[in-house]
Amino acid sequence: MQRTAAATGLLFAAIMLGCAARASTDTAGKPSLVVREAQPEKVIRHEVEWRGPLRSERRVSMLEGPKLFSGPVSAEKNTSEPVRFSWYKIEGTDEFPATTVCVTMAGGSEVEFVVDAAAYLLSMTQTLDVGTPADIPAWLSQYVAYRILTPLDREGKLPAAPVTADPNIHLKSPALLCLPVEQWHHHDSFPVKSSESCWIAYSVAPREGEVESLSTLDQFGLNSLQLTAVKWLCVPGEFRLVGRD
Amino acid sequence: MSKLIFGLALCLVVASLPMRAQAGCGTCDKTIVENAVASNFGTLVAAVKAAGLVETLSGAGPYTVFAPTDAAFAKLPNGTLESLLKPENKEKLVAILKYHVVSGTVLAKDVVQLSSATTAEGSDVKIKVSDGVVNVNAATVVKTDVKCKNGVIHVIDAVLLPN
Repeated sequence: MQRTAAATGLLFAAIMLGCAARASTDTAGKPSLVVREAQPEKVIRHEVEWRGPLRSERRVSMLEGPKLFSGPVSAEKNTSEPVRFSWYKIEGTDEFPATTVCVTMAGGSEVEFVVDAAAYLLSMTQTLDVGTPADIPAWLSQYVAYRILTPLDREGKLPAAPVTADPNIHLKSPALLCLPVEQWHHHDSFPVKSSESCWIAYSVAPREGEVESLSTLDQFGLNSLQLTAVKWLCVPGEFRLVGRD
Repeated sequence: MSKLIFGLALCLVVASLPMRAQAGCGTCDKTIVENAVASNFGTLVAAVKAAGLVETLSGAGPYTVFAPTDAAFAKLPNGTLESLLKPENKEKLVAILKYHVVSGTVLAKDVVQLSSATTAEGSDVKIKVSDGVVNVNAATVVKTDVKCKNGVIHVIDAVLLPN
């Protein structure tokens, strides 16, 4: 009840403040990503430290997964530096005070989301086939996917789903907002490279994809994933926290 | 007296400050040898003991160890392991074990960028990525990045033998 009231208050404040006009967005070159359910050969359970834009302190979270894997949509699969993430579930409910985030989508439309809990850590991943794996794009960071509490726009409507690069994927409603985070894992550290970039994960009409097997490499080492159903589609955007200019 | 109370209070405040969070993994606070013992690399541990390398691999390092599983040692021709564990063959055993060690912490993300790596034995191992599988010479890497206090272990399914 309290959280609902807080979220409503934040949403109201956001509406009053407005998702103020901003400079042009820089989502160009940032791809949409298909998120598929994943069965890993080796289940990783590991603690990492991270710090995101919603709270200034470093925190430790126990991860388990990968539960999901995201990669380029079919039309963008042949890029030289593909964006790929293994999605690790953040154990327990890692809740934050409900926070309003203004997101500028590709094309310039703006939407405000209220987010309140960290659900997944998105770990940059390379796939192995033959030879040296493709480089990770220099602008890429680790991300944390936060649960969207209020997926409504300023008029109280579901924001129009953007058209995707894959005509077979029909978006429904926004479920998660992925924001860049700093992350530490033993001696490895992953800085935020593109501090305003984000992805909005939309639920999609149920669709079984072909089962696909991948060899992957991320901060936890080599793994093999079996990818099954498409769960979400992430579209790129730029974000800022409302009231924290 | 008031200074003493202030000092005690300060100590209490400092002691109660949250320490910087430290992520753990269950292996990173142990040495390569301790992790090998804990992870049931019984044959490798026996070989490391026979070769007198326990102290070295428990040292500061850092080292990267391609660790053959017990099943990998079992694939050696009959009698090979027993022969290597004999005191008179210690030099040969040391050379084989050193052939599994690379200086520094070479994580999987670095391994896949290499075509070879120079081992502590002095000669190189060949590294190849093919069909999504990483091979070190003829061995397949089956698990990577077991982080240790003094380096990292990658698990392989065959024993590497220097020429």
